[in-house]
Amino acid sequence: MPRWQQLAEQLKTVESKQAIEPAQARALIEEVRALEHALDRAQNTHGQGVLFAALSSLRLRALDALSRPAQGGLSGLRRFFMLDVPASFRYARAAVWLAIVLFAGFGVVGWLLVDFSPELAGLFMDPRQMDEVRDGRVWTDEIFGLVPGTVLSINIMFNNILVSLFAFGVGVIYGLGTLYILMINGVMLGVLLSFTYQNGVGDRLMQFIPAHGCVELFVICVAAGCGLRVGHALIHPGLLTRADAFRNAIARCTPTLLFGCAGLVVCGLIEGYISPNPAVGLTLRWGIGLSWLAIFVFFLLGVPWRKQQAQELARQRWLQSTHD
Amino acid sequence: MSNISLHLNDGIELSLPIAGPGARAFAFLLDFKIRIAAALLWVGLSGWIISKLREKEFEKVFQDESTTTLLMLWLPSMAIYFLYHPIFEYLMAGRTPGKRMAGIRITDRLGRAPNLQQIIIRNVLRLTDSLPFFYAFGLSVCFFSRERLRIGDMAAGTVLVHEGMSHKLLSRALAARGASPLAGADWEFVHGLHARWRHILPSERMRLANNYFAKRNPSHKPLLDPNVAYAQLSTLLGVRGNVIQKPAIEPAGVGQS
Repeated sequence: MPRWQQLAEQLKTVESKQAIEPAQARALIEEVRALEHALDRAQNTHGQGVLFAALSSLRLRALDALSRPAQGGLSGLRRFFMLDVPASFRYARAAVWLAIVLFAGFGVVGWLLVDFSPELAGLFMDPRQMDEVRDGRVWTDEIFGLVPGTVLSINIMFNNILVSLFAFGVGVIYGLGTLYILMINGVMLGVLLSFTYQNGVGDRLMQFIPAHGCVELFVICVAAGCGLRVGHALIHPGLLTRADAFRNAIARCTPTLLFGCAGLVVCGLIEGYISPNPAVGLTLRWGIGLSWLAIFVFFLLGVPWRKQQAQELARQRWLQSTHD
Repeated sequence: MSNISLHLNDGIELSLPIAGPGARAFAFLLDFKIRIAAALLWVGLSGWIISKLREKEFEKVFQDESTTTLLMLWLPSMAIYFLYHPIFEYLMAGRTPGKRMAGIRITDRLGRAPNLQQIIIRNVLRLTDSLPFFYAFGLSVCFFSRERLRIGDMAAGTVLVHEGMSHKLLSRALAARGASPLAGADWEFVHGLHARWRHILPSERMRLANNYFAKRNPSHKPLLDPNVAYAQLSTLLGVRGNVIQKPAIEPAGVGQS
């Protein structure tokens, strides 16, 4: 059997596995070296024809198999939660606080707008919804029992995840898109609260929000913070090229964003089953909302895994020192 | 078609042809058709099963807003539609069925298949690329960027390249080369002529074949029948008249041999 065929057979075995054994990797390296000689000969004698293309393709596959990081499975997932998410959040932290401040600020603006002129609520609210509020009803009152919890949960989950991903994604327009999303959502929340309080049903709306809203709004701010961080990297790339700074910012923010999306799945379940349920009292709602927020932030900061983070930091420093 | 230089991690530079907006759009449309068909197929099949189980009319199943209907009917079909790209790109090492048909694949800057994080990033940023409608933003960026990248690819550090021949075709070509008595440049020439036979004008392909046969054997009498010439080329390659590399679309005005 020609040597390239042996390599092709080896690759078939290796590509189907999650990780290569050291002996397999050594054998593969030997075959790649032999292939490189064959590739040289092929190019010199026949130019870049089919033979060259076929051997190059084999070589690429072999290099891909050799340099591919081992598929972590559970250990990869553990690493994601223990190291990647906290490191990612530390990177985006300042921008997340800025997003929270901006969101709250836009909320106040929305409140004041309606306070100043109630008709302005029409810019953000459906006329039917406004009539309901004027009649002393809130749209959240009728949700329970009308729509199954699962349907509601999945709809809400999908919508929230989409808003978060969108708030992050539009950060590529130098952060302007994220600012717009923050503004629209902040002002809308302020307008809704102000209008419902003006018509005496604000308390009922506030009863609906706390159980899911604490984490939901926080995650939207986190996603927006990541979007702002990406925008900042584009405006101030530092020593990197703008493209590299952009790529780096996106890669570093992604674990936080994915963790936030996982948090939104839980929020969807709370919003589908607990928030619309009149049997759940306000204190319990606040208890659920704040506890869930505390747990979420606890894991986002990686508090339970400080030791592993310190070990990883020491390992990276050691690697850096050996590299230098 | 412009090329991109990929710097492999052993210091060697590899040049691959970049897939432009046309190839991208073609692959996307193929994938779009596949995922729509798969999602509709799921909805139809599970709707039929639910209607049989509940002894309901087929149409009425779709008006039902119960949890079971949602979990069996809509959720999986939505998952098929929205997770199609990331799942296939991960499982098929940077390809989707549509990309494979269009002959393109995603690679990172080292020529490797993209990792899970890169796949997630390029798919999350699809949202941005699809703004304000029909991927207008992504396509315009793709038209004006040097490497024909959409925002998602820029962010993930991936490129879309033409694969050329697939691994299978290359392996078949190599196997055919092993079966052929020809060596070196002779094999490359005969293989090239054989593979492109149907694309070359009849008079031109006969001239090329006769010139080659005359070079091999000066006493060779020129052949007049294209079928005989093709059969002789096949014999030289060690194949039975099959075209190793399937020709794409027959160009207009070119006759069949």
